[in-house]
Amino acid sequence: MSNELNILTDQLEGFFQDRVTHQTLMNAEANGASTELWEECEAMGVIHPSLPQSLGGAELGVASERIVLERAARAALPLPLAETMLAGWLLARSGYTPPSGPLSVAGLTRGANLELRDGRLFGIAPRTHWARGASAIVVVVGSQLVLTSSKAASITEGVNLAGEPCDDLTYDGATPSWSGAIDLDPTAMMARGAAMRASQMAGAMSRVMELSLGYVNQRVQFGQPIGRFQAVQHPLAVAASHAAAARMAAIAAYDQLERLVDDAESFVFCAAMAKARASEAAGITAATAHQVHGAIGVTAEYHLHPFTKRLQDWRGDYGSEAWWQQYIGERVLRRGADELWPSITELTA
Amino acid sequence: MREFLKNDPAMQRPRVNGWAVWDREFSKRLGARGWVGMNWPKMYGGGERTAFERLVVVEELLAAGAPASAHWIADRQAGPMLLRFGSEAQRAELLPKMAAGECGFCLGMSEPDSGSDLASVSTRATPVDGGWLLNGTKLWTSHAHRAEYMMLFCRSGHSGETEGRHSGVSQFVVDMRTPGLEIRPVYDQVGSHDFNEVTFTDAFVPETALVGEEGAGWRQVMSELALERSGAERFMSSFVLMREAVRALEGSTDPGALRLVGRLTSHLWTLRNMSLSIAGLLQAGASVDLEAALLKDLGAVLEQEIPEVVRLLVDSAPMRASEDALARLLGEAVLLAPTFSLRGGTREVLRNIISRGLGLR
Ligand SMILES: Cc1cc2nc3c(=O)[nH]c(=O)nc-3n(C[C@H](O)[C@H](O)[C@H](O)COP(=O)(O)OP(=O)(O)OC[C@H]3O[C@@H](n4cnc5c(N)ncnc54)[C@H](O)[C@@H]3O)c2cc1C
Repeated sequence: MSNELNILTDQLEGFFQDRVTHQTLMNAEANGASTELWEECEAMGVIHPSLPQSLGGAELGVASERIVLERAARAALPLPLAETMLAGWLLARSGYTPPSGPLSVAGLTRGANLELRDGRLFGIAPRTHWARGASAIVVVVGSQLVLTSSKAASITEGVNLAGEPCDDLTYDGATPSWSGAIDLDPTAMMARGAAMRASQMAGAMSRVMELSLGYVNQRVQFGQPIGRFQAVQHPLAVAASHAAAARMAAIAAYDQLERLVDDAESFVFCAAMAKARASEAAGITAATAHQVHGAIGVTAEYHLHPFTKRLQDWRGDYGSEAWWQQYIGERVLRRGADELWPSITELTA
Repeated sequence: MREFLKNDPAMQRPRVNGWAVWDREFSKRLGARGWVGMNWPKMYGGGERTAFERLVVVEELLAAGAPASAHWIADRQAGPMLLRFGSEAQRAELLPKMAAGECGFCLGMSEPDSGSDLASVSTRATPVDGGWLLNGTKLWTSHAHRAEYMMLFCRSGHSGETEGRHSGVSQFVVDMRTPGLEIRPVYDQVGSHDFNEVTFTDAFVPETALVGEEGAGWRQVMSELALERSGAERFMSSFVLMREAVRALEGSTDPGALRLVGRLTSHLWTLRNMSLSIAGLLQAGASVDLEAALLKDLGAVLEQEIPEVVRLLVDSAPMRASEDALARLLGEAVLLAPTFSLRGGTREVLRNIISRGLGLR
């Protein structure tokens, strides 16, 4: 890892720990994204860490994106960081400089049905994260990107499992402020988001493990810390190994990101495996954390649910386990039994 | 490597858990091509290749289900242990033969009363003029009747001397032809003879048999276990069965089946990445006890899940011998699966290690 990245990682850890308190999260659930917090993140230069400086990025390399997302998720940062990065990356890929402010991406979710007719946008985009407060929304229509303001859609407000904005959008002839072609199919764009979610899940899992280990070492029952019971230790050992696997999978997917240049299918395959593996790990880690916490873990005031709720929500985003597992299985069967091991070895760094 | 394996006579019948199947001639053929002890120094018969290149060879053997145990222990741990702790004479004498695939090792750790609690071993090496007298019993010693040498872990010094659990233990290289060493077969549940009971009755070994420092055996054996636990064989033992199930499913569009295959594949790819990353850490001289325990625990779960998932994927009945490759591999996997989370440290022992690594005690 470059020195710049090391410094960034340390700064981020401190910044997020400092600025994202339980109260911050509860306020965000009640009132939506905080403009002040967003501006502080912008000042840190973490909004588009991997984009070239000419496009408003920090040019720290692709790994920086994974690290920022992981660190932000360790704090459950209640801002559309991943959505903005994805939107920015998509725009940059089709040669357009991303606008400033929080962005969102529409059209990659289940049930999206959009079309361009005479340059105007029609249709629906369900479950669009952070749509209502976005300064602009990148709408994916096949292999066409369309930039609209959030005012261009009629919005039915909703929330995800963690209480973050997740809105249904309806377009009825909106005129885009920009549109352009992108040389990726929607599955590859989804895979890009899947790798991001895998990194976020790895971050949230690391925090959930820390909270659980801290708690069992301190909570006393039967005259001793409950962490002394092997029946408490072993599920935590299992959860830790899943969390480690998830983090490895996210790193390994980012290692293959460059393949998007000329071998998008291989990157999609890796992102699919990372997302499927991390999602499975997320379920196990979240459940174990709640089990060892007892009742306090499900209370509003205890600082566990912001993480476990996000984990459970993210599992379904940018391709659920069912979706990606099926995608992986199709590719494995299509290539045939004798290509199974070679296709694993050629896609590890 | 893939080409060689396709044409080698030993590969007519790929096996689940092939790396535990002994075939001396196969190991010699690998040795002749420089695929044993690949990353050892040339002066000891090695190839001075990188640890990563060795790993690739190891994985290809596993992916093929090759019968590789005649050189496996030597290549994976006995050789590296001698390079790290052994004397110059031990290296010069043994490593070239090991790298040729001609000299096999077995592991003398477990005893009738010492399984998971390895530090409680009671086999003892008592110092005498010019060497040591060995007394005690080792159990579950795989391939003791086929190997040339044992890497023995036991107490050393006179009994009754004050000693802690982790001190006063040492490692020895023991020639299996040593007088006073007796090997009795222990047949397993499929009737095979791989396990043994090895008894030592005033068996004399020379001073030169000591590996490393007397009394420092615990530290040495812990680094040996990291090598034993972190390899690709800890998640690939059932791979050939998974591949056969994929063959049987080719052309299927059943979403349920596709998802099960997809899930296993995501685990396999992730574990491969973990094992490469541990190999990198080992190469850099880092201690990987925790990482190796994580990998082996997750890996054994996958190895045991594969036959269970295959039963859901393909309408097949497991057989011990059959012309139908899938039925035979499923039979092998079902009967061997219980050992995957026992050998090399049980699931519970690994989870205890992980817990300690997490700061729980
Ligand atoms: C196929 C195979 C090959 C082997 N080859 C060799 C070999 O070549 N050389 C060699 O030295 N050994 C070999 N072994 C032995 C192996 O190392 C032991 O089986 C293993 O260490 C467990 O010891 P045990 O069988 O005595 O079980 P025990 O230690 O008696 O354990 C029985 C059960 O109790 C559990 N248990 C024990 N202690 C604890 C604890 N503290 N907390 C929670 N649960 C616990 C165990 O996990 C297990 O489930 C082999 C074993 C197998 C299956």
